Amino acid sequence: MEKSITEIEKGLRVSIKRIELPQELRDKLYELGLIPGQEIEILQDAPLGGPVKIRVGNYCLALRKREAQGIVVEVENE
Amino acid sequence: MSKRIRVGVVGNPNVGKSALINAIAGTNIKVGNWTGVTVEKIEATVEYRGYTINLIDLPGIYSLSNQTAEGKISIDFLIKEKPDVILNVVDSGNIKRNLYLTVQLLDLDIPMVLSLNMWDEIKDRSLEIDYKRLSNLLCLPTVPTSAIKQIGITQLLEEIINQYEKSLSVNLSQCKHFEPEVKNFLSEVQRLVEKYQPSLLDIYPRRYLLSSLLEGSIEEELEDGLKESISDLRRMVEKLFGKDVKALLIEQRYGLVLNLLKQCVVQKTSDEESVNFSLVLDKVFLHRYFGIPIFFLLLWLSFEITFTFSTPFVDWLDSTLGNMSLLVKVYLEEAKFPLWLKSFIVEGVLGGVGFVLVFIPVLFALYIIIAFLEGSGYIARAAFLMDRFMSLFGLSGKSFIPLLLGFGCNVPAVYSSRVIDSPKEKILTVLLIPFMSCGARLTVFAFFVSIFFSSHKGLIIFSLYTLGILTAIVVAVILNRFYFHLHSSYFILELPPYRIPTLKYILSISWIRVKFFLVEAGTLIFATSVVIWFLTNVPFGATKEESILGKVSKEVSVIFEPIGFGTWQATTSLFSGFIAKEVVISTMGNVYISESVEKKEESITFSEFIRNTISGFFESFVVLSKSLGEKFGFVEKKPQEQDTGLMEVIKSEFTPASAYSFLVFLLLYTPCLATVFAIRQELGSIKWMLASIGINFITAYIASLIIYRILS
Ligand SMILES: Nc1nc2c(ncn2[C@@H]2O[C@H](COP(=O)(O)OP(=O)(O)OP(=O)(O)O)[C@@H](O)[C@H]2O)c(=O)[nH]1
Ligand SMILES: [Mg+2]
Repeated sequence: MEKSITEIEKGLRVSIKRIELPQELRDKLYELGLIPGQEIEILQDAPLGGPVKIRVGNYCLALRKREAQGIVVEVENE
Repeated sequence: MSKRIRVGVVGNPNVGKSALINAIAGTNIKVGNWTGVTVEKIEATVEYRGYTINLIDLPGIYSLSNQTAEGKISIDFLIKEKPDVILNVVDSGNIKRNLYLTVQLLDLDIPMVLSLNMWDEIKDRSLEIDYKRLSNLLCLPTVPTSAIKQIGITQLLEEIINQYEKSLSVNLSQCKHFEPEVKNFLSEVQRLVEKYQPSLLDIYPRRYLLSSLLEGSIEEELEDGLKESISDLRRMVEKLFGKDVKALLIEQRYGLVLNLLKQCVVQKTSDEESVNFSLVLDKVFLHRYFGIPIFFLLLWLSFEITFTFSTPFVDWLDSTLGNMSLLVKVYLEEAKFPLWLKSFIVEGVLGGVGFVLVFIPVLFALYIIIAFLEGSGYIARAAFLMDRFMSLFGLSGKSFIPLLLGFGCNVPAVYSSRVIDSPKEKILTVLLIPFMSCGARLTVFAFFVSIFFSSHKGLIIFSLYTLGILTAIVVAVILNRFYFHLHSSYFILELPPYRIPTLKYILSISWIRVKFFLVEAGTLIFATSVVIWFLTNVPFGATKEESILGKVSKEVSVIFEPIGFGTWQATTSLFSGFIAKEVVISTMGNVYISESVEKKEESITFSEFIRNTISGFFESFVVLSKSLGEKFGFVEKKPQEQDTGLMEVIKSEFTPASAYSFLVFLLLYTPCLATVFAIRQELGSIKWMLASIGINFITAYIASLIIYRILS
């Protein structure tokens, strides 16, 4: 099943399906290693619509909620 | 004549490029644990095996299609200035993303050496890299290094020279190529270039050119025919593969990297445990609710520490310098110097420099704290925490980094704004930087506060810093509402692992800044002292008030009447403060003293001086431990304040209200000429430079007015 990364529970590792963002942003994230197949997880989020901290393989990245919403991941059906 | 090798040091941000150069060449290039420390080319030189090796430190980049301002500097250098050898620095702990850039660098056909930096860190991370295997697969000399532990340094130099010598004899092209599935299309691009615009092949490395053209990331003017045929080609690729070229190429490059890693990297435990230490710290520092309160608590603690630790040493320096000028006076009297020269040397120069020197301990303490912030990785967290807030006026967390650095010195802060992605955001950020109170202003605050508000030093100074921040917020809201209309675009920032900065790092980076301040303050104070001394003595024989400067300042001083300090002396001091804040007090010394101060008949011998200085230094530690005791309520605090020279005069010339108003003005108007020039350079426009000066003066005036009215 496909979901946006922001809908995923904190700490759950999922794999990226695709990125639905304007091309410039998508390319930026792609080059940072957020390519389809990459495992990521949300580690932390800030209140009041602040940014989220995600882990991409071996490193951590801060992103705004809005951009994070464009990261579509694959979750197993329960 | 030794031969010269130009080495471009390239890699992702925050992988230790600058630290590595420092380790190789013994330089002091700035290092810090966040992305975007280096924002321009910096050269270092080292002699080795008869070669002069020029190491060129470049801003970090994630890829060759990077479009940020500082990234362009690196890419332009690689393409246009073509270094003899590339030293590609890689963070071993994050090798996958780092090798993506490596794969792109191979396309440049420049001899290359790979440095697997931070090798010391992966030991603890139970990551195993078979670097010899990697070296074979990539056909690149690969050296595990640690800039911090000084591992692999000579080996790097050897390999750089080997690669260079090899490239002289063989026409080297990289043996490993990135061969994308679209290689047929790339050959087609080549055919088109040869047909329409063969000159491109002389400017760019071939493989880099072809893939950039197909992606559409080359900015060079293209012939219409070429442009059209390439977009046709691009459409064909997109139809065939079902995605656009850029995405396709990125995925394939990553595919190549994954393939390499599969053959030479073993991750023994899961990722989770590998970044444990940082994860736990972030649970606290980035906590949903406590993160921001902790941030403010840390800021407040920084102040307390700065003042508690520096005060005893300030007092010690104060009495030492007092004694020193006494000593000099004695010598000058013996040497029968004319009276005017004596007054110039003692009051003008020595007094002026002295007033600033006294506050060196305060600066040192402040810089140590900033160095800790920079070295630990907390600065990126501050950006994370403040992003939501900054987005209220169209900025992002990234703008917060230059603002935070502004508390040390506004000049480097202005340059560091280069990491901000959007040009408008950058302009707004730069306009806000001057409101961040820098170390030089702190010296003036500390001086005034010790006269008027000695019982609430920390609090009063904290209030000034806060006022600067609040003003910045108001200005940001107004400017954004009526001019910039920014809706903050996005915020993408790497959060590096926390690192414990070494004592050596903290002391050396703070010392460099103090030294810089000393040299600059020393020269500026001397120069302005000379100028002011002359201006207050021409025409000769007149009192200072009737001198040229006195008269002009008197005219201008009318405008400062409503805000509490409409005297010509205060006005002159503000004039000089436009040059730099560190000269304000020395100017005050020049214009206030020697009219009203009777000379105390004291003298001191050289040996007494030395004895006092040394015993005073050790006493400072006793005082420090006592005052720490006071903080925790162990020891009763006893007031002790001895006014000298300038302090006495200032006390009689200002009221607490006008003094505070003066400090507010000083806080908010143009910080210094150096900042003005930096703004001009960074924004590349005189218009914005003038706007910045204007905004600062207006807000300074309004804020002082309001505050003075309230206080008096
Ligand atoms: N443990 C360890 N830390 C390192 C090593 N090299 C650098 N560091 C730390 O990594 C951080 C980044 O170092 P810099 O030299 O500023 O990195 P840079 O690549 O120049 O970064 P930018 O200028 O931002 O592109 C600093 O905190 C260094 O102390 C190393 O070999 N081992
Ligand atoms: Mg650097």
